[in-house]
Amino acid sequence: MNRVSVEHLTVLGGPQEVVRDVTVAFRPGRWTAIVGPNGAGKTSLVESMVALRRVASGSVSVAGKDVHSLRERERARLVAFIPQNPVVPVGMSVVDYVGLGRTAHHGILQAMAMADTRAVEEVMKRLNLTNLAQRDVATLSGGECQRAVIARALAQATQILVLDEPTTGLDVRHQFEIMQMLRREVDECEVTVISTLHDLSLAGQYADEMVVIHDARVVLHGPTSEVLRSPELGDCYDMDLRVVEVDGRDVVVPIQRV
Amino acid sequence: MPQPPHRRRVVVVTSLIVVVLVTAMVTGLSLGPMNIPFGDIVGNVLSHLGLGHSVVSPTQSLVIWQIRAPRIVLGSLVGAMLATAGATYQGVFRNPLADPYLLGVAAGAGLGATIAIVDLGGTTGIPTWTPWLAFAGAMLAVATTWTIGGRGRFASSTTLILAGVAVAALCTSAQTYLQQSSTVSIARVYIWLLGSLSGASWSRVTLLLPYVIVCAGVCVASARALDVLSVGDVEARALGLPVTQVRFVVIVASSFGTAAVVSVAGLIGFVGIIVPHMVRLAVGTSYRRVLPISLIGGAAFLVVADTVARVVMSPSELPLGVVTALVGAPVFVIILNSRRRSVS
Repeated sequence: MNRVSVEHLTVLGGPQEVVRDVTVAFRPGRWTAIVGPNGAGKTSLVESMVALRRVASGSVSVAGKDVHSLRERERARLVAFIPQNPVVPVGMSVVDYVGLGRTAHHGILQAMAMADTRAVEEVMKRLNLTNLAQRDVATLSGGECQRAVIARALAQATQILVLDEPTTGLDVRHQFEIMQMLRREVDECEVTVISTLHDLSLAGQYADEMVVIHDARVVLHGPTSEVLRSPELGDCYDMDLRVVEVDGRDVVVPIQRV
Repeated sequence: MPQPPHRRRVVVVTSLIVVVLVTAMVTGLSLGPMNIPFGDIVGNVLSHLGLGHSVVSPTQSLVIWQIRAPRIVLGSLVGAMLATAGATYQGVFRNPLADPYLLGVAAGAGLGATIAIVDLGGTTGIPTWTPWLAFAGAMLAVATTWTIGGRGRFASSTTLILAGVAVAALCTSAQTYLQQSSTVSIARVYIWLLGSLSGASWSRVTLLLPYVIVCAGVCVASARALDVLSVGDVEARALGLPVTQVRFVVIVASSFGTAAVVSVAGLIGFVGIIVPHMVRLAVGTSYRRVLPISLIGGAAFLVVADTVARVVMSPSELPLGVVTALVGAPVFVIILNSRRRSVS
């Protein structure tokens, strides 16, 4: 139910190949961080994993099914997706916003059933959003808003969660808060999390595995601590990367090459 | 701390609009070149419901039931459909300025009607097939917009809106050429374009009713989908909404309904913009509230506007489109100002 694999995937962005013949099998029930320099093709890769982009060739299979041949509703029950900059509707309450996550469960024409309401309540409680239930989402702070967005994705009750840069624009504390929230989903519910991340230290502390994308290809894939220590990682950014252990956690310090 | 409005407020606003609608209807029955006292109208309406006796004369009764009543009912249908279609377009394109005429419905209908009046209408009157040609013109224009705008597949809604602009410009230029080339019928074309309910009859009501029921019904039923669309196409798809199909169904329903309305009442502007915006100001942005309340609000607004159009220069009439724009434009400015205030 939580298996994701990409095979020989090529995605075009205009005439260019933004993802070139990528083959990756993501470990089920684990957190894989997709890292790489800007413009490497991370966003294109995750977007095509949820069929938001047409692929030129290759395939993505989720829970044994080809995502591009699934109907929207079936796909949304298998995999939830959060883009880098989610659209925040004006005038919608937090509880209604989180409720959007139930769309694939209750159907377009039907109202939410008891099960849907309960799922929304449960997720909001888990993410500490209950006291914000009636607030307009557009008035939330950055951290609260991202929590609501994640709550919406969790309300979809999928075994796979795909996120594009979930910590963009958040301060240090809120970045950790979001990462911890996702870690808990992986540890307690065996959700497969696949997220692009810019911050290598953050990825080093929370992700189990790391996929490095450079020039539209996968150049490294393995356990986070190994990938962080491999010399090729620095080459992708044209930087020297030193890994320092602080309290048993990997922290990456970038140093400019001369 | 701004909060979305509570249920009680929604109930109050809805009841208020229903009261306005009923009052406007009864007032509309009472006012006109032949003044029939308000009380007599109420008595007559009640007597039709089996309560008490009516004091109006047979002539008055004829005026009430064969002239004014169908006009008021037609006005309600037109207003309800335009407001619902406007709100739906605003939702499906996530554009607050979208109106029912966005995809070329108005220009297409105008062209169709002009062809009917100029080429087939002879020297007097507006031919009976004008509504049919207007309807055909409107649907053809929307279909063209849809086709060149990428059929809603992976194309952004901006493409569709821009295609609408192009199609509308083309239709309008053809329409203007036809209109200017025939000086005998120019006045009739203008009267039709400005919109009017003066041709109202029960047969027109029964002609329009099924279109409005089906089209407005589909729009109101899509409220939940439109709420999902408020997070944009990409996220709506990720949430499991078949965006392309929903957009197709909703655009067809609102365009079809608008075309039907325009073909019997001409081009009545502003209803589709100001009614949904007023409703949003009162009950918030959720389409589950905006759509059904706009439906009633649109009916109320148009009945009031049409009564004004009939009464102000009685016995002659102001074009209805002039009244709605006259009321609509300042109200729109007020709405914009209050929105700006609530944002800052």
